[in-house]
Amino acid sequence: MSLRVENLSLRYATGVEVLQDVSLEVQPGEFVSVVGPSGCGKSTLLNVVAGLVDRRLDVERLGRVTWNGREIRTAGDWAGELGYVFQRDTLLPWFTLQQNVELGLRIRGVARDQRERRVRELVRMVGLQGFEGVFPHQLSGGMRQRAQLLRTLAYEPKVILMDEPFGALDAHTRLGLQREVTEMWTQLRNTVLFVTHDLTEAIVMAQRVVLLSHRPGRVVEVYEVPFPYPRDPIELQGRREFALLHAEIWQGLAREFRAQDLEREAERPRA
Amino acid sequence: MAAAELEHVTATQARTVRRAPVASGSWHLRTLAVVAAVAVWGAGTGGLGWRPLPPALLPSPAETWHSLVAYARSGLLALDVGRTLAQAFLGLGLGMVVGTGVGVALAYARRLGDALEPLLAALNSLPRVAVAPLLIIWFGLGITSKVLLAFFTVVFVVFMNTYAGVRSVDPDLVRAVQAMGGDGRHVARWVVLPWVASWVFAALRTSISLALAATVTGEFVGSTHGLGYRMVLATGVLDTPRVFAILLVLMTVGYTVVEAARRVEAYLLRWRPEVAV
Repeated sequence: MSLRVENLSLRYATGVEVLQDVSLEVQPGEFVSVVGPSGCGKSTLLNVVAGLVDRRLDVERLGRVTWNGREIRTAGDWAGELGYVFQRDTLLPWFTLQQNVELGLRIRGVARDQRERRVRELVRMVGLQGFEGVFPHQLSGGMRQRAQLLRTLAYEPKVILMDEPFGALDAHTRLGLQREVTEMWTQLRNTVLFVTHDLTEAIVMAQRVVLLSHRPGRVVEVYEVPFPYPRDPIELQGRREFALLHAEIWQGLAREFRAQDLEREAERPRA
Repeated sequence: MAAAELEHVTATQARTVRRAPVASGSWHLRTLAVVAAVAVWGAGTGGLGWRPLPPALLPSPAETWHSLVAYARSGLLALDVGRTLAQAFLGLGLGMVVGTGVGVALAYARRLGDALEPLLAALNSLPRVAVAPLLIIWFGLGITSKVLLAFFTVVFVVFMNTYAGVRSVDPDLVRAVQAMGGDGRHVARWVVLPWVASWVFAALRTSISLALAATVTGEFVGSTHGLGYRMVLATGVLDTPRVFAILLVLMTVGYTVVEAARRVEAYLLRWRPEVAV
């Protein structure tokens, strides 16, 4: 009973290899983050897990993804148990905040009054009350990302994938959202796979950190993060244990940065 | 026409729709502008005792008004306006329905769309009024030839916009709906339809003027009723005040319809950020 990625490899028809023999298991109710240098296939990994790899693209794929033993090939295979928070704002611009947040509930056939009650609860939780009737373009970046989060939490998916959800936000807003998300997760305990390029964020949020190599992405190392929840991201970053763990993972990550730089150097045509 | 070029054209059309909202209270200035225009016209046509051009070349506002009143009293004005508008709207409606339908169908049937795109783009670049004489030969002086001319003028514009619209749907929005468990119907209703609607509206606004112009041109070439027909008659006997009166009617009718469409659009697409471009 878990989310399993088994020996997953992915290669485009152009010959570019994105993922190489990636295996990892996320236990139900576990929060795992994935870090790695840019272009290492972190986002691709999430898309494969979600079943959202564009079928029109010519990709050769080995290995498999399963959730509770059921193989996932398309988004439909999740049978409604998946949530996905994107880095880019993917709220539907023609729907109000209320309408956006209740989309998942509408798909699941939840009655209108129940939907409204649920959205009211959620909106209050992140301080967006009063903005229910507002269109996305009238919201700030941080508010939009909160709304996107609510849209996913609203239908209580068992598994939530997050692809650098705070990447486009300023440092202060990001810290606030990191705290809100860890608080919510402490209560809800969904299974979370969280992709980020920010090592501090990865450690602050997760129970385990998976380090991917530079492209093609392989699992280099998996680190346990022993801090108990609820966590305060700001306080946590001041701790000695945090600094030690950060330094340890950083060495691994820095090795991948250097290896990637060297490879790029070698590929550069000489004058 | 290359796809990139096609997208450029339609994108420009789409952009013209996004103009900044007019500040309320500006109607004073707008009325003043109209009054000033008529005053200048009047001053140059004998209003100040100076008339460089005879009425047969440039009638005064009063002469135009009298001609318009006479035209209205005869009962012909209402008849002609009705006829011209009916033809224009029939053609417009038909063009919108067919253009949107074919645009959506071809955008989904990618291979067929790719195959037909150059042909349809070529037809689109054909000056549509040039087929007016042909349509009169085929369908006679009645209503059919004008409706078809308006239809032909409009249908390609609508098709091109719809086609480009469907093809430019943001894949991330589609993925977002799929990720929360939505199926093809949810994607069509929540993502594709509203996305394409803004493109179709952009086409609608240009199409209204195009349909009116096509109808009047058709009436010039050959007809028995309508504003265009009445204008040809007036021109033949150098009744320039009548020509001016008809031009005023055409302007008013065109402006009213386009403005109405703009308001409906502004309401339906109120989710868009109001950026002046």
